[in-house]
Amino acid sequence: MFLTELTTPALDLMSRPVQALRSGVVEVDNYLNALSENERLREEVRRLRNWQVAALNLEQENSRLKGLLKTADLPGAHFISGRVIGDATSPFVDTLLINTGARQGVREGMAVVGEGGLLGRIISSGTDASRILLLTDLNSKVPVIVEPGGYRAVLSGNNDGLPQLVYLPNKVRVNPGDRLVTSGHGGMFPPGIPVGTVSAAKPGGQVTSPVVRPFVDSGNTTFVRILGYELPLMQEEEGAQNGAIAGGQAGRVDIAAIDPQLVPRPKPVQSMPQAEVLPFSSVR
Amino acid sequence: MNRGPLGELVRLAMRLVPALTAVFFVLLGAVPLGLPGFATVGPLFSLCAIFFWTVTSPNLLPPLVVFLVGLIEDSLSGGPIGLWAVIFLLVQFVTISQRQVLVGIRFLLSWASFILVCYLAGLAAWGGASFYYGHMLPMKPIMVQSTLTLLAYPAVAWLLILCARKIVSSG
Repeated sequence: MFLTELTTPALDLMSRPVQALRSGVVEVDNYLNALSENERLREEVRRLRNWQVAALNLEQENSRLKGLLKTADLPGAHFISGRVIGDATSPFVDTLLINTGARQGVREGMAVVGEGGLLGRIISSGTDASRILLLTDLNSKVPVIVEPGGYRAVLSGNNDGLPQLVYLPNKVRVNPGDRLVTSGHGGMFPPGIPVGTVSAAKPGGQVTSPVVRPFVDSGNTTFVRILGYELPLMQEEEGAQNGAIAGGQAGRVDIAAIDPQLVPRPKPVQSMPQAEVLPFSSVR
Repeated sequence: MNRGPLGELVRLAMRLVPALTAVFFVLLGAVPLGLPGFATVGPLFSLCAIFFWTVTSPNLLPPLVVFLVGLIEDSLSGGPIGLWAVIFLLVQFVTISQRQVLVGIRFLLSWASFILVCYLAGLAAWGGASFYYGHMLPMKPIMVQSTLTLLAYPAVAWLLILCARKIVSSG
């Protein structure tokens, strides 16, 4: 990470005009397509209003069921914002460099979300720069749940842009368009973060495992949010040692203000009886 | 040309141009362009720079600098540390061994010789990375990258020729 950090200021400087140019192109494109875009958005608003009604009903139902189950919500989570300064991708590795590091509270293992869902996780962090391992990288393995069936599986990157769904239970059939969210197993990612959809087929090849199209286009991502998340027990242990969760105080953002649906509303950890924390292997 | 201390300083700065351009091209390769899929197979500009300077003035690009440029490339790309550093050194070694043939030939011939260097470097990188990760990685991306590197060579060489002329004129 030392050499990367050394070159970060120059890379940051060089990426700015390119990003300004990209923004300009997007602006012109938006202007040219304003009329059709407006019509599309009207249609989307109509569609989303129906969804909103459904979501409110589900929220109420969910709340009642949670009350019945006496399950604990996730502890507080916070976001740290970062800007992509380097497309550190090569034929063998799919990573991105961002301009936030340990000084802003970024630590290895933190989940990174882009516009629309999970982008990857932090694999190394320097003082003012970090590297994100994308979902598409060969070394990326993310425990997911395939909706609507609720099947557990692992999303495995393979360096070709479309990760595969592996370790699905036997005789389970997933369909194109099925949505994937993080399962939260292993404690690396909070559950419920949108990941992608099952793609119809792998272009130009035989499919042995279902192929997934991530919601976030890493090649077109400029800003990311790094999600600080602690397992309840880890948080209590750290709290006992340090009196507070480590890192990221200055850059903390209220998660509910950004996307209240992304992560459940936090509850104070102290009020959560330890005996009621479900083992993660039993949470689907 | 100024022969005073300022002139000495300019000449010293000019001697650093090959190393600086090589580092510049490493950074350029890492700038996010936002083109879908391009980052994975984007040209390896630094390889063009190393080949060019090794042919034109190898004394201005010592192996240690080449190794460092490779390390920066590895560090920014997130790949196995040392992979491109070693491959860049091999490229320099092979190019120097053929330098007597390469110096003074027409640009098209020089470009043609870069084809071999480019694909051999790509193959070596693929082999090294496959060995590092413990299984055969897809070969297509590195071959596409090598081809794009090859296509980018004239543009990179044109810029570097301008730099080389400046170095010569500075004495």
